[in-house]
Amino acid sequence: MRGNRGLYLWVLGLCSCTAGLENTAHIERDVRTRIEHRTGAEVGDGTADWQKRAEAECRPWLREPLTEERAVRVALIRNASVHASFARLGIARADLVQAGLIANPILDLNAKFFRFGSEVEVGLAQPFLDLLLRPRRRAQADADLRASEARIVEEMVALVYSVRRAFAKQRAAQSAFEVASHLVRAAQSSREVMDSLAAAGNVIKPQQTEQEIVQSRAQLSMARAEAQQIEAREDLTHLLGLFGEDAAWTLAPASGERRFEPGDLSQAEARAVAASLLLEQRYAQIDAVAQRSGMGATEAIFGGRSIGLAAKREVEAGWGFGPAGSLALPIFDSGDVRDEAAEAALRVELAELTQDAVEVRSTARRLRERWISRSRELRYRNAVLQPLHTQLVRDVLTHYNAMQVGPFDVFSARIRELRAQAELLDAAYEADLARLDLEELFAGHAPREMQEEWRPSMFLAMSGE
Amino acid sequence: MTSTRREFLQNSAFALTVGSALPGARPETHSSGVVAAAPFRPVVTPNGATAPHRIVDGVKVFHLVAEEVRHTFAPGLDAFCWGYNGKVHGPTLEAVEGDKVRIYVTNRLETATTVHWHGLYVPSGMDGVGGLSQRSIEPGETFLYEFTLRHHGTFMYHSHHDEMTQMAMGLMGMIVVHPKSPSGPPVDRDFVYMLSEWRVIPGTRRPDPNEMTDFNVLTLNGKIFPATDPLVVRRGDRVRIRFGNLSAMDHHPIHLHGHSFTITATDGGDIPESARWPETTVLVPTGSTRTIEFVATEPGDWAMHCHMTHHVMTQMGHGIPNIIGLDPSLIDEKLTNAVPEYAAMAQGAMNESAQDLASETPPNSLPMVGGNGPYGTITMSGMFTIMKVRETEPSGDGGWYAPPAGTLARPATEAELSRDGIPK
Repeated sequence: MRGNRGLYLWVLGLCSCTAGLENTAHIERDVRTRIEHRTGAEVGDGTADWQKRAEAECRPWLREPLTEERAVRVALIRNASVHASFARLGIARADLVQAGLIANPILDLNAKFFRFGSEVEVGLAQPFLDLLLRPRRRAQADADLRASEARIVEEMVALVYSVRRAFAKQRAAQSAFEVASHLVRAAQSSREVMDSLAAAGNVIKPQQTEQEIVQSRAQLSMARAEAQQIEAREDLTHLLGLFGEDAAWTLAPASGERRFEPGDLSQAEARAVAASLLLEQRYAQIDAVAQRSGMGATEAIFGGRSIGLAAKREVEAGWGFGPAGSLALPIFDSGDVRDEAAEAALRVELAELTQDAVEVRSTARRLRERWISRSRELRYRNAVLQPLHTQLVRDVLTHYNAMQVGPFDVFSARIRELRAQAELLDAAYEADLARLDLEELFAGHAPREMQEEWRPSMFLAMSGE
Repeated sequence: MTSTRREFLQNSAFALTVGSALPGARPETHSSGVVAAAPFRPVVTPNGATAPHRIVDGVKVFHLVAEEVRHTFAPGLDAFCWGYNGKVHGPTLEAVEGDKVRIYVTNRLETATTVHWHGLYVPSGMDGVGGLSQRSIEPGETFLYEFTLRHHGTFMYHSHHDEMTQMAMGLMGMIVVHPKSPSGPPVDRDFVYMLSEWRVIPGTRRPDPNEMTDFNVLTLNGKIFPATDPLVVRRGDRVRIRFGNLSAMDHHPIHLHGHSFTITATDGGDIPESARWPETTVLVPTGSTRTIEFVATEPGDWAMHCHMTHHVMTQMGHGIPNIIGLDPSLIDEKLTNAVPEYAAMAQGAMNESAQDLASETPPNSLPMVGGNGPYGTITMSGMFTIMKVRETEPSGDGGWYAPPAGTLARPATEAELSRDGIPK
């Protein structure tokens, strides 16, 4: 009876370790909360019901002019990578639960049949190492889960800011197209005046041809600006996860809907380090790797071994019971190599953590200075340079009124003003990017260095000046 | 003769008044202790002045101060020029053949200068060519020029140091030497003009001495029409007009309407009567003087101007396209379409008077042409003035001439066109 009661308790104990996924449901809620906290954007719970409701809710948004905030919300609902990220979180959750489970006991049955009877051997063994390492494995899985959470939050932050950047690009491209349209109008008007003068017999052919070239180049510029606008639109559409009719969205006019409050930029490094999701992942990975260190000898001895019960019925002696177990002798493999590997892996993680922290700090300084310089440049262009170009047009006009210069000088000044306006768009776009980069850094994700050198004024290359 | 006398007295009084204002002036002294009546009809410098003088021990003493002067070519167009005694151009030096003159020249410019007495017989060392005749007058220095006026005529004075710059800035003036023993009929009016040209870019306030071809301010005694004073004379007056030309690059054919005249002298001397011929235009080459005389027989308002048509324009732009034959509204339309600033300007002009429709122009600039006349805008500027011939002694500027009935051009009537077979 005592043996039966012991077996019962052992089985009960094992069963208590088999916690289900339900117990980890809070993890997704926590992750969503963190995303909302860092991006200001709501993320759904990922259920089919919520998804259906959210998609129904966002469809009318797409029929209205799209604002930046709406675009972010649409992306978090419609971009499939969001679902993939949460699915990956599900895997990490499952891994955590799995790590808490005890390996199934092994039932070993062996029967032999003789002329005078049969012998039966029954063994029930539980892997020994599994029992021993379960707390560590659980801790490692927990660290992996934390890393996964941080990675998912980081992916969402990156997505949100990719959407914001694409939105800024689309808006800049649209403004560039408007400038290009004005450029064409000025060049066209200039050419028409020249054509009229030619018709009146007052100018020579090279003058007329020159105006034709200016106007043709302006047309090319506008075509390029239009192409830029379409490409920029697609950048945003795919981030929003839209296709079909939903891809026919329009852009809301800029209204200063969101203000950037940079806070104390002298603390930019500390803020970036504190918020860094990359470093958070590193810490979790270090925890995970640390769980593996010092386990070499244990694994060498107990790896693949088990303890349990054995029963045997012999023909003549009947049933006999007793403990069973196996143990590796650490003669050839003491486990030191594995320990060293684990410690090396830990050193790798620590070194990478240090380097990542250095990089985050460096990024913080660079982005802070970039934002400050781009903002200053934008203010200067807005307050000084662009008004000067407008003033130049007025000045040339006064000289035109005084018949000191001709209409082509006025058109030329206007074209220069428009070119400066395109440069102003560049400055505004770069200031937007600098702002978004800094915001993203403070939200926990260090933006990647932009590979693309796109600027709104690129269409001007076609004008040949 | 009454009027002639009155003018004479008026001019003498003027000379006295100005004379007492000489820098460091002492009371004019004369061997007799009284101001003697000049044995000549004093010359009138329209828009200008005659230099005051003192007589010291029988020597006429003048003082010229070369300095920067803020000069008004016409209301609305000022410039920082260089002149003498606060004037652009310098005052006319007036004397009589045989006079010994002593002319002090003070340099208040920031650069060296000299004065050359153009056309006068002077000792070589008094000729005023910097580096050749003398060393130049440094800033702050006062030089003395002293010589006897050996012949009469119309002459000029001007800087002969860095001429291109200093004459472009205005350093010049006229010299009138009356004959000691006049011959020929006496004149009732004697006017003197300095012709010159400048480059003043609209919106600037200083002549550009580097200009070689595109002069845009053409002046009579430093003024442009409509700021040029009219020549007011009485019908029957014998009129003498003396022209000197120190323009940088241009000669000026001065045309007088309504009269013919003869050229009686150059800066080389009098032209014998046998060599004179009638003219209506006198070409005044640069670096020369010409004197014309005529009797003002025709009452009316008569233009007198340089006949080079660009010389009766002010601040004309020469880099603009020819828009003759083009509907001007087309340019307006295209500018309005493409240039918001122009559209805004045009919108603003909608509420202004017609005069302002030309809208905003650069500061310190004038319309290319335009002075008010009795029948509308006179589309002239620059070297343009009006000789007003009146039946009686005119007062002030003489007002506008009132033509007798039947002597004013007017639109033809239907009946007249029909009568003479002129198609409409």
